[in-house]
Amino acid sequence: MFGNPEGRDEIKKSFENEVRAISKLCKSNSHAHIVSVFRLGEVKDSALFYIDMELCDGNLDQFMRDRAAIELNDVWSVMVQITSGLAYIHSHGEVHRDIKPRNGKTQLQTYCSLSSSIHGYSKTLENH
Amino acid sequence: MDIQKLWKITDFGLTSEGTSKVLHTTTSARGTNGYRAPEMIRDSKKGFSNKADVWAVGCIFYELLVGEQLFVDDWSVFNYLHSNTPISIPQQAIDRFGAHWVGRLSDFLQGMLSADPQSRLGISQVLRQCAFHYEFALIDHPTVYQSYRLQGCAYWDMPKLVGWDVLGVYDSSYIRCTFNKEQFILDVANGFSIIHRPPNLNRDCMDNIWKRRSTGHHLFAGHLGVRLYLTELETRSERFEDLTGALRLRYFTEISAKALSYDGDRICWGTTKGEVHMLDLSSSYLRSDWPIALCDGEVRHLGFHRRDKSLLYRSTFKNGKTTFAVWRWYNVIPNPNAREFERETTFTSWISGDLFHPVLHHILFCPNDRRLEVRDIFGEQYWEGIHFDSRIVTVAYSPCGGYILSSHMYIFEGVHIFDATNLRRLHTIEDIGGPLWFCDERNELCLVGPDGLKRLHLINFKAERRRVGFEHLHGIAVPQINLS
Repeated sequence: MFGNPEGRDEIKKSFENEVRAISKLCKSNSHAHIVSVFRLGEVKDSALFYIDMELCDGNLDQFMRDRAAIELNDVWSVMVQITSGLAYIHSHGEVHRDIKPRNGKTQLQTYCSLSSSIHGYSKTLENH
Repeated sequence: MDIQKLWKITDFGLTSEGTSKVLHTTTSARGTNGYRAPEMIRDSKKGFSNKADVWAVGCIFYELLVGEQLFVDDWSVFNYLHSNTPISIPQQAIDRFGAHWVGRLSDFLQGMLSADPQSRLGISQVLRQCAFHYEFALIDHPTVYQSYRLQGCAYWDMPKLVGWDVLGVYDSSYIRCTFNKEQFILDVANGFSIIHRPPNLNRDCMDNIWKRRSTGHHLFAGHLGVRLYLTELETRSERFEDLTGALRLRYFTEISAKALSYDGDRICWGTTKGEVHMLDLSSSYLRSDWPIALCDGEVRHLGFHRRDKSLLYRSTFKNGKTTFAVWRWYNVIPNPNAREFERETTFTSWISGDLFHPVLHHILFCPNDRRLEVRDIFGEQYWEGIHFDSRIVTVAYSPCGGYILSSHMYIFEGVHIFDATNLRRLHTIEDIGGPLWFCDERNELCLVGPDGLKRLHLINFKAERRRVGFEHLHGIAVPQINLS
């Protein structure tokens, strides 16, 4: 996460909120359908925050646009995964409030074994 | 099939906490245009609950089915709310999935997109419904799958039931279980929702549930001491509403524990005093004031014989130290072949289960809890029994009578499946034990459990196929039933 110095406080508030939720829900491998976060931080004297998390490629939005029609079995599969992640969030007394296809990140199974720690960090900086 | 794709939830920037004071209710509405729940748009001060997430999931569900976004912006949400018309699934999507899906999908969609957060489905209900269909989609038996869905009654296989005790599975739609000594009826087809919590009835009540042939309504019956309770469960268009039917109380003399049976039109029960009564439901709950038969001792087992339209019952009486068991027919439609016969047995323990063959004149006989015999009702034919090392929990004929299943616990835990005509063992399914119930009239699926881990197993005993809990299914975790 990044931003300009003027809006720093607002961003920081939002970031802290995210940190609070993440530290509760996203400890690595806490749930199969919630993204794992390895490290959180703030670059000193700048409006630069970073979240170091596992690499996800693609999102549900893209997935749906790539396909003309999705098989019913796949529909149920996606639904089960999203809702089981959400049920986990709700069971911890949290409300996500921003569920949308772009939030459901997909990740190929092969990436699971990769430790994407460094990768995630560099990606955040690139974005900046 | 994109089964190897793992979907994850990210972006917790808007996540908010539901504190204990305002449980799951937060303010400062934001969210994304088109996926925002009406209560988030309408009144941001009032706060909203975790049901807002369910709305978004409903929108995504539609998008997955149809391929188009359901609401492009907040305006279309308002239009939908004011138009008061349910969301319809476009024809081309219906063509793709088949017409039998229409009702189920739109009902489910409607449940998630209810304008009132209170009446919107909870996330665990949504999860269970999805998981149910997903699980079924994996069963490579399309005909069973189809027939289940068409009937609207779902079988199913329950995740871990910690602290639960399952007492019965009825008609593949309901599970009766106890939790903290309280009793519940769970509707399996509707995501294990609790449909009934009988007040002040102990667990001996509500032993039976039947489907009424004429009306399709469900009938609960039980006995508490000297009363027979009949409760009718109203059904409306395949969806089970709550228990609105009047509780009808009837007074009868002591009803024997296992001697209660129903054949779609008539209820029959035996009493400890040796009377057999019949109640014909087709003629508007007429009570039989007189017993249809009298026995020498307590009526211990009683069952309807499907083919002969007759009633078979067993009564026991003591003569000195010996106990006699007498089997008798009662002919609803006179049967010239029927006759009585006696057999001397010593009763140690009695196995529950359907002991009468539904079509042939056979009785499944358990002289003790380790032995199983089959004999002809007229006493003419007799098959060699089978002796087991382990204790039998239940024995039962499959609904059409072709198979005998025996469930065992202790020493050996498993289910043996026999050919009912010659008692030949066909196969054995290990690691599951407990009482068993048949889930379908098609003679293929049966529910066994709970086992030592309090799991229920659905087995397809014909195909030697067995389905177990969700914990084995692609790492998808299923939360436990919430009793709040």
